[in-house]
Amino acid sequence: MSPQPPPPPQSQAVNHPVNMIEVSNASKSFGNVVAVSDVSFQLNAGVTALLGPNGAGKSTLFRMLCGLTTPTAGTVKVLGRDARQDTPVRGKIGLSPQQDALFDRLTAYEFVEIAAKTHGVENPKTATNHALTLVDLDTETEKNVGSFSKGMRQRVKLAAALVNDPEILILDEPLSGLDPVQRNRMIELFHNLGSQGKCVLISSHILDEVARIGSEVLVIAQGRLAASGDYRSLRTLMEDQPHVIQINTNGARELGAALLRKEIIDGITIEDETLNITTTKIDLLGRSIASIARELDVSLIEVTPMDDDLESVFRYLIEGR
Amino acid sequence: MATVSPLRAVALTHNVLLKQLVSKGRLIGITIFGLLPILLGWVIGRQSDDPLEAGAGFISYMGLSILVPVVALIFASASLGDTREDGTLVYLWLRPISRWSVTTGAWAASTTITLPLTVIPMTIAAVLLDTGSTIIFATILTTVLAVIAYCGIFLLLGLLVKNPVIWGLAYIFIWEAIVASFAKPAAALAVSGYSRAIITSKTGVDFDFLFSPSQGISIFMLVIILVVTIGFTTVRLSRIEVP
Repeated sequence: MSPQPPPPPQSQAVNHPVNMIEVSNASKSFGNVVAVSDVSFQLNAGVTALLGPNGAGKSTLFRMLCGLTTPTAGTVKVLGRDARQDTPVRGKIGLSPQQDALFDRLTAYEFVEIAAKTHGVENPKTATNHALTLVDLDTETEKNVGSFSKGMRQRVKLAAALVNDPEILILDEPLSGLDPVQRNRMIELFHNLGSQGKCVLISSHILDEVARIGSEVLVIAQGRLAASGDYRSLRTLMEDQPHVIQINTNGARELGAALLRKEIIDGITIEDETLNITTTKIDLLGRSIASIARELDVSLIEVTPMDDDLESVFRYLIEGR
Repeated sequence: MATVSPLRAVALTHNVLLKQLVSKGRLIGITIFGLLPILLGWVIGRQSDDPLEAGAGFISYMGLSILVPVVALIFASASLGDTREDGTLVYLWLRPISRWSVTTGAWAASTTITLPLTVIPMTIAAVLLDTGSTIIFATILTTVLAVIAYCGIFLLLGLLVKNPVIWGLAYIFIWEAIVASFAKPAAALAVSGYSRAIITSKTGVDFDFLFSPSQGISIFMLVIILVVTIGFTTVRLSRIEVP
């Protein structure tokens, strides 16, 4: 992992004569607005997370991969082909788009079955039942998807993306709207698909989600590929940066003084019962804060990392370089 | 993975888009709109001294220049246009099926719903004119031909512009209903020019000022309009930026 402009990353074992996904110096502009700028990477089988804040260019990149929009410059290939021009390759892609839109007057079964049939799946009924079961949706429900909750709609999109057993899965924020149990189930599913030799590319703007999705990460910010590689390397790289932590406690002054005395923290501000601290020793803080609170006989109500979000990662990756 | 034959793709696209197009609100609104020519047909049949000429004029100007294009506009412009607006186009576009299959399926879906909503009231209106079977047959034939041509035009419009209904209404009322009625060169570039020519030819009613190609040429031109618009829509669909 490097905060420097990264070399084109190359993911796991290559079983294909060409990279499953190959993006070379791809850019996309809408008028004067540059959505994606000079992005290059190659991916093969496995799960890769595309991490970036809202508006970073993730969806535009996904749209280019699927051929839904053309790059202004550079090339984008899926299985060595341009999905915009090549009809057969579109049958090997499963896309779950970010937008919530579905054919609202269809049932979940009908929606997924239409996807199966338009993909030319040989046994569409079996494939539809299998895909709906994979995402924990009832195959019998008569309700139209228009009446579904956001989480259910998200799972319908996922089932439609999976129904043709695609080699390439492109999932744009697939976990949004899902409850924690469903998230875990879906993440497990993505890993299973990755280990089956499929190239699974998943976007997210939530760092914690990305930590669980995949060890391989592409970080995109302001349309540029800011970093790429292993997620843990990215986090390690971040560790020499001061972390901001908010602690709610009934003994803010005592706890703050103790942490300063033990040189665990670098800075501190106190507002009522809330302690805002900065520290570069995040691991030491994590190991010792409970025992220090116990010694002082104060209660820790809530400990919240204030910068454990994408903005801080991007601030570091972009401004730091 | 088996391939999807073009005709199968047309049928699948037709089925899914037809379900999206048929809403209670649209059906009620269009049915009420369709009562207007029925009522007028009954009045003309009772009141006119020459109900055949009055009826042919009414079918030409009220039916073929307003009712048919407006109903076709509502459904055909929504057929692909709505999918682009709401983001569902991706579920048809990113499939291993040909673009013309999607276009033709979308056209077929809008035609399927437009035909009964126009042919039925127009036929009832023609029956109520009480001038014999010739005008009834001529009305059915011209309505069907006008529907297939208008659906092609408005399918394309739905992919070309935002707010296609507003643009379409302007086209219908300015070009098809007014300009094409009084200017023969304009009528040669209007669906209503050819559909009116068919009904006047079938009924023998002669409006001197009308553009008057032969019946064969009129039918041929309406089919050509359909083929050309399907072609342009397919090209447009291939080049479109899909949301």
